[in-house]
Amino acid sequence: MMIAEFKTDSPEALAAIAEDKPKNVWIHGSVTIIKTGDDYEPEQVMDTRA
Amino acid sequence: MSMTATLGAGGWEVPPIDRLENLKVDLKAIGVARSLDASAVPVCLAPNGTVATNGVVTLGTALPATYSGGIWLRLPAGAVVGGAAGLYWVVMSSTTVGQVYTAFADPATEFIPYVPAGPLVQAVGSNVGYTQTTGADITLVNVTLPAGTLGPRGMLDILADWHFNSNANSKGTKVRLNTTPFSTQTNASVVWLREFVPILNRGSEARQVGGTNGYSFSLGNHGSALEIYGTVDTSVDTAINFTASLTAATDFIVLDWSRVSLTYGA
Repeated sequence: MMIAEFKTDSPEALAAIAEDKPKNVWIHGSVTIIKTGDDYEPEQVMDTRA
Repeated sequence: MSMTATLGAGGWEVPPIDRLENLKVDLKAIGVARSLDASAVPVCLAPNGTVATNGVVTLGTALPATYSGGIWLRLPAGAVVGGAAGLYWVVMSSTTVGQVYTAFADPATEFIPYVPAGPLVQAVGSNVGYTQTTGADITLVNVTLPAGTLGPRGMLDILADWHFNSNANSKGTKVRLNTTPFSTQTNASVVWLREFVPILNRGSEARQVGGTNGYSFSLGNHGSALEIYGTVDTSVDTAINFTASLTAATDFIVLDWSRVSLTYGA
């Protein structure tokens, strides 16, 4: 399972955010969701306006 | 159940209450749209600033308007003494200065922005400059799509109105159904985005198409586009989230208003 949930701003959440690997971080209020490994989703955007 | 209005001596007669209850079911079946969220109370992923001891916040970057009617500012933990990271109600007196109150919202559960009821209590600020969180999607609005209300051929019409300070930095915005983004925009070098995000169930409550990536309102021809295909189970309660993400803590993102309406499709 490469989707982990933490209490926002907890030491565990901050440590997971600081890890040097590709990740998606979503701070959903008091819950922080971090996707890594196979669940990591690279951003797919096309912005023609920039 | 069918219903027939009758014209009596005093005008059109109102049906009995029990028949009005049946009328609700009929409206659902024929696909009448209804609103889940229509909030014009703004929410902001705030730029760096300081909340003084008296609760007055001074932002390092000016917002696009003086939100004197109030705005929810997302502040990091510790900006307010003993305060968690989250949304605080602030009444602005200029584009950079406002009074922070203790009214607090945690969008981990449904949060449709509202004006808090009084009396409001002034927050006690740390009186030390805070640094806004960067590199993370941060939920600003969280709307619940009740289980089964979309149906296998239903459609969500989502509108959102965002504001930014303009520079080359990415200021990400997303509209998600559950965890699936149906709109992902980077918003570099723009000050405003008004987007329309349609999401349609494709004959199944757990299969969707719609959205846009990189085009806020894509009508007409484009050389390329990313249609979004989802497999979110809408037969259970499902969250619709509006998130914002900064790469520089001196920038801001305001979600000025949003609307989610649904049309049931059997």
